[in-house]
Amino acid sequence: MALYPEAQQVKQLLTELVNNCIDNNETIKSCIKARRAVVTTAANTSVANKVGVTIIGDNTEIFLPYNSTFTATQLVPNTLVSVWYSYSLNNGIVMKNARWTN
Amino acid sequence: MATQAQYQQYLQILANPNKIEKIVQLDFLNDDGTVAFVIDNEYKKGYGGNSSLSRAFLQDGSLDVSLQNGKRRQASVYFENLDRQFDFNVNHLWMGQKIRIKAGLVLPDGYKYYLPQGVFYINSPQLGWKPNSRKQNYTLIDKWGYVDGTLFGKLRDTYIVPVGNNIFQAMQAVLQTSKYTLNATTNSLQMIDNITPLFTNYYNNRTTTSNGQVYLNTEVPYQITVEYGKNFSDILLALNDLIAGWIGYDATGKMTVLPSENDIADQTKPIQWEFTTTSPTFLGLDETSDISQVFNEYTIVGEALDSTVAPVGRAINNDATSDTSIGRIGRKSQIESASGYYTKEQCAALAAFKLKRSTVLQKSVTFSSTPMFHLQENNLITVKRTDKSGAPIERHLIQSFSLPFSQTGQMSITATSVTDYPNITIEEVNYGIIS
Repeated sequence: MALYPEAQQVKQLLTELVNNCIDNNETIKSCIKARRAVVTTAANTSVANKVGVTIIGDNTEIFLPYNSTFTATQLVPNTLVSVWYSYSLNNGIVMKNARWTN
Repeated sequence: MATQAQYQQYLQILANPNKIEKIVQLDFLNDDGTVAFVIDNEYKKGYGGNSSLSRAFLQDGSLDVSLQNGKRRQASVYFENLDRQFDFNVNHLWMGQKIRIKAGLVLPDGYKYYLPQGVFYINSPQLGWKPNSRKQNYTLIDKWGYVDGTLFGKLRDTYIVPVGNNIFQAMQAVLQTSKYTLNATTNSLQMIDNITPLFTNYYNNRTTTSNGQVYLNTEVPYQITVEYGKNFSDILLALNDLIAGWIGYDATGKMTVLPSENDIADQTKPIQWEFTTTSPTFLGLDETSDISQVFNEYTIVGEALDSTVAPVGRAINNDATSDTSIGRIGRKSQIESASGYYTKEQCAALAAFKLKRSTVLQKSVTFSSTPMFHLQENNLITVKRTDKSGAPIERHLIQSFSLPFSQTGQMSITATSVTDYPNITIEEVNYGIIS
């Protein structure tokens, strides 16, 4: 009877430990991640050479540089795009449209 | 309030452990920090002193403390709950219940001398029900569990700390977030943590020069972005990384941020107990050396994309007087990348900090002792090694300890040896040019 609750506690501790190890693993941190986002502020209207986007599910607008293959008409508000980053969203760039076709 | 004379009496009793009458008390707190009710380990007394109410008393348990950035304290408490006053349900103890643990001993005049051992949240309640027995077991974790996703939720939106913000004010802003709206609030009853944190003033008025520009050490040098889905603790840890400090909740339940050993010499920290192998408090020790984590060269690569070059900083232990220098054991190299670092000076400073921690051979010593209630992590204990030539007095920094709440049982203390840091060579390089 006493073993099961203790096993549950150990499982919780181990889960936390494993998640931390995964998060801090260099390969995991350095790999490029892609998230879909929607343009909220068109390019170059407020922050030079950056476009305002909001990651889907998020409410915070962040300003990121964008791939030079985009034309001005492709980065207007409400456009779905794909944000690529490694290590941190600070390193993010609007790389492609949401379907990765450009 | 306890006096200095009472503290001296407490220390004298500790030195004669056969006279210790251990006392432990759990204070169940309201949101404003006042005490709603208590339970202690005295089996003759009922709940709140009124024996017509619950007769539950603390039967057993333990406290585990570990020095790290983040969660430091965990506890387990067991008591009989036949009258069900301490059931885990919305009408009794529920999610978000804070519990303050105090432990100590009875002084010769009968005064109950308590010392704080932490403020906790309920984590894993367990019930064991048999005929004539209803044993309740609560696993408790310290208040960091409320910001690291264990007990509270994740970040609902990406969190940004702008450049130039004060680091400590930004930390406090996280704690003053409303539990209900996840926005800033001035209502202390709604805050994630309404206790004012304790911040070091070591970095006040100190500056760093980077790429010819002078920055205050207390200001955020680059925008910190923590994406939604991560934890509130990730914001605190990212801010703490800027000053390479120690962050966590102390025994009084207050968040503290202190300079790391890189800034304050371990040799000057207070000594909390002096063990000798002949004293009745010393029950034995085990010593191990972890050589796998020793490195004498540390390289940090800056990964911020908005830098104009690719910076690299390297710290090297070539000190001929060091036991772990390259000349003595060969080159043991470690490389890490640092998100947000965009100058070679930043990378070099982080490399030096990391190398100083990893180039010293960590001798870990685990003491078995009689229970002590005043020990704190990141402070010193000493032991006179009569098993070594000259009977040297060795200093050790407390890393973790385990304290039983029962009247019997040993305390276990793990500490690492305190050693002078070697002289370090720094290399800083900027690679390439961004067109």
